[in-house]
Amino acid sequence: MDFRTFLQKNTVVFDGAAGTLLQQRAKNVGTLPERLNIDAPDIVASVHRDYLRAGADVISANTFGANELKAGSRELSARLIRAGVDLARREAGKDKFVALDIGPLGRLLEPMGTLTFEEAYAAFARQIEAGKEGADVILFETMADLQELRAACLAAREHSDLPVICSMTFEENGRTFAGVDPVCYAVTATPLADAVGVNCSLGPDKLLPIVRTILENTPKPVIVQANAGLPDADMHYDVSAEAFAKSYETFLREGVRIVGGCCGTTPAYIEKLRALADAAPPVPRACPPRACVCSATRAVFVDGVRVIGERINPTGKKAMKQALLSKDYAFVQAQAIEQAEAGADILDVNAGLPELDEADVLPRLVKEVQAVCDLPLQIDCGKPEAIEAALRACCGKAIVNSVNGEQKVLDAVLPIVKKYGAAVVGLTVDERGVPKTAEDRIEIAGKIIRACKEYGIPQQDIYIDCLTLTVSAEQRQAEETLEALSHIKRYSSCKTVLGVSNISFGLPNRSAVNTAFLTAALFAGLDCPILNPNLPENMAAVAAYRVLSGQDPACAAYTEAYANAKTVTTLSSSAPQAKEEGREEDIFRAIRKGLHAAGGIAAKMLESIPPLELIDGYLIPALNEVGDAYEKGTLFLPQLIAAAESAKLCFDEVKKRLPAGAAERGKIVMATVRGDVHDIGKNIAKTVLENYGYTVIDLGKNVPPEEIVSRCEAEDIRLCGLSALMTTTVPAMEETVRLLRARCPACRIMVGGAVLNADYAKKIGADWYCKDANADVKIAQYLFDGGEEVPTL
Amino acid sequence: MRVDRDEFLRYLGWKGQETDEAFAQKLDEAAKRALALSDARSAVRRFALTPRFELEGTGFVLEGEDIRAHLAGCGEVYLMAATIGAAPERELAKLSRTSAHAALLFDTACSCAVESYCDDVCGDLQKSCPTLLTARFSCGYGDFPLEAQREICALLRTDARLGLCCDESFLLTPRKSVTAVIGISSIPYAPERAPERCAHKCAACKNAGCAFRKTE
Repeated sequence: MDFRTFLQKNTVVFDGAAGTLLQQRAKNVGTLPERLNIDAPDIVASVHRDYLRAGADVISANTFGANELKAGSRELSARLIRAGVDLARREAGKDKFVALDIGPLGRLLEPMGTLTFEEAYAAFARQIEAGKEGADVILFETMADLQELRAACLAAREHSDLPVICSMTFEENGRTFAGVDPVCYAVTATPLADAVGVNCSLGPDKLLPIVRTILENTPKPVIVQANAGLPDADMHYDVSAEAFAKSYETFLREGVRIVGGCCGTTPAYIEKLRALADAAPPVPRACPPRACVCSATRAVFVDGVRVIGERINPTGKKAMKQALLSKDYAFVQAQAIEQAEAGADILDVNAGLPELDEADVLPRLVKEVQAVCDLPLQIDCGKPEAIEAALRACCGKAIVNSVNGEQKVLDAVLPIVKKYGAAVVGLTVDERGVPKTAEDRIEIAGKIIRACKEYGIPQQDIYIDCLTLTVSAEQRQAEETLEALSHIKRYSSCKTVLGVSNISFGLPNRSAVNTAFLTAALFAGLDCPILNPNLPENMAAVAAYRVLSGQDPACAAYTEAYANAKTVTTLSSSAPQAKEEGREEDIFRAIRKGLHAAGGIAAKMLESIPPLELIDGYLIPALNEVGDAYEKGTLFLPQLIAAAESAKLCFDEVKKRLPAGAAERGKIVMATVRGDVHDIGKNIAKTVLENYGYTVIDLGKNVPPEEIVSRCEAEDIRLCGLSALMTTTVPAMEETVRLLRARCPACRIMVGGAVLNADYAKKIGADWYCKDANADVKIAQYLFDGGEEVPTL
Repeated sequence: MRVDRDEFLRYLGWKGQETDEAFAQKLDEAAKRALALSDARSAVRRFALTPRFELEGTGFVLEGEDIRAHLAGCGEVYLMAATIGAAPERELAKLSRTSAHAALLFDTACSCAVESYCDDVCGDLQKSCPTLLTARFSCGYGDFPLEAQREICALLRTDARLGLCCDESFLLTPRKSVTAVIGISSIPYAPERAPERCAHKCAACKNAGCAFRKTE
């Protein structure tokens, strides 16, 4: 019998901990217990035998940590895995099952660590290739990072036909170490695996609430392999086999289908589980379908209005277009944070520019946004290749925007949506163009819904877009849109989505038309308006609708949001008003003190003096004064940065009054080198430089030499700043310097970081060593503005 | 676990400069936020120490004169690892996109928090140990190589137990984390004579030029 069939009919019993027994039986387990597969196979086999004797249906090969990163080489990893699976197979024979057991790689993925998704995928793929022969099922367990688990599951699906069980480890706060929520986990892993569940971390009783949440959010079989409690410093665990089994009675009663033990459990525990499994047939359960999208840490159930923020889209947005073209992902990240703070529930991500290869840029965009923002994403793109690349990169369950009624579009995109378990927007147009009537829209929606069904995409994952047309051009169409919307809402369990602001194109006072249409659409059954959440009137209309429709019980959210607000203004906010007069001593004081009022003072001064004079006559001298004070030690670092940030507000005022690029003083590329995620120093230097008016292209942290050099080449950069924290990451800095010298001979290099000093910097070939952020400024002033010479090393 | 105001200022490089109430408030906010987001966890395991400074039964030998001097007379050691988790890291990623000033204060507050948490862990270990423990000694101090961090993480299985990993540069991720070796001496522990840990740590360190060194 194959494992999938067995699982359909039976409660499956896995084995318990191997580590504890191996430790007892082998003298030296060391840091890589899988070595025993080769050094002491008899001991490993004896552990398998004991678990089989205790009644396990499945034994896990001793391969948990035998990946290439922990083993130190691919060759050793493959050898240990092969030996481990062979051993288990021999002991299991034909009647019992063998799991290829794969744990976390032991390195954190980006953005918290340095390992890329692709590297993780490749490492998992090699483990699967090495171990799939002779295994009946692949078990990914003790996972804490959802993105790592995704890499593992995708590798399994693309490198074998074996069933996949995945299991994450949760903490007492109900999340994994990486902050993954059990709902997000269940929703994301369900389409990628044959069974999902939990292991390790806590004793079984403490896992119960997490297991319940998973049961509620996946129709797939659920696995539980708990620890025998928590260990003390001598690795003794505190839950007995009896107490352990008691908790498992509850698990089985609630519908758990696969049981086993993790750290601290022994064959005695598994014997008890065997008895429980034999005592009663599996409990059937139903998992009601719910519309949900998520990131790794935030699940959004679409059971009321959910706002999709539209700002990460270059169409008609000059600054965003510029940011995407120049790969200024910091700008994009700031936009993501701003929309999240304004109350968006989901963010649209779009890189649709003819100059860009979306298959390349969209996944990067997804990664950068997810690094700073926990909202689920809507991948806004029509190109199948780019959609797949973006979905691969996207952690969680996304919405794909969009397909339409054209069969070839449906056939190209829906298989990808299905594979990654995404939701999908169905645009009610087809090869005949934009339909004129509600009926035609409804007909196309019907076709999309049928096609989704054929591809196995459930209705609650379909978001129908009935199209907003410009009312000034086609006045009747607004009503048709609303009619189609309410029909679809009434007769299907699909969700609905609609871009709103297009309605008012070409009209004056657009916001009045936009909010009226938004409100009408919400009453017609719109679930997900796509809009600019930064406009208060948009969010106020949504909040008001929630009150009127009863989605905001007792009007509590509305009252909380607006009780202290004056009537919502429809004007966008202007520069902060300065309390002080625009006088010279005020701006010096405001910058030195790091006050927000500095921006307002600058705005006031700009009424009477030209922008460049404000820069050269006030801002730079004020910053220099602050810099000198910092050097003398009368100010310390937080004060230097606060001053720089208030100067930034002044520069923003200046930039509003100048043509783009006119205030530019020089362009600097900055990066924390490969292998290093410590970027606070680089960020401080960047802030200070920017606030002197220099343009900083911030490439982020863990940046490969090639990426740094190619940006310097492309932008014709004259100054590059590199940062590295420790002796172990300085070699990457040295490599970057070498590559820069070879390919950008005109580019000067300044370096900084905790372990660096002038000698060290000289040794690796840099031009300057920066002991602090102020030193960077001196170098930039010398290089770009004829400032005092800063001698090179 | 707490964020000590003096430590906080010391990490920020404060040398008596004049500050105002608004700044003090920002420090408080950063400290509060750091503690609120911290999900502090630790793993500790005891090992016998062989005369050649191997952790018995592991093949892991403690390299470097400084750690060996530090452990002189100890027949056993605790390995420890501690972290305040991933949530502060995510907050920091966000802050670094919105305000470098807020990011610096928060980053520093988190450093204080994890150090203070380690003090708590060590304090608890000492309470349950009849003999005196040495101060904790971390990789990268003196000539105790950073590379040892890989083995410490592996022996404590910090990836599975704490979500704490050692990256290819032998640095810890999430960043606000610590690994250390603590010697278990044979001198009976008397609470009233226990040395003040951090002062002890600074005094023993050879890096005299360190910007953060405590002066007595």
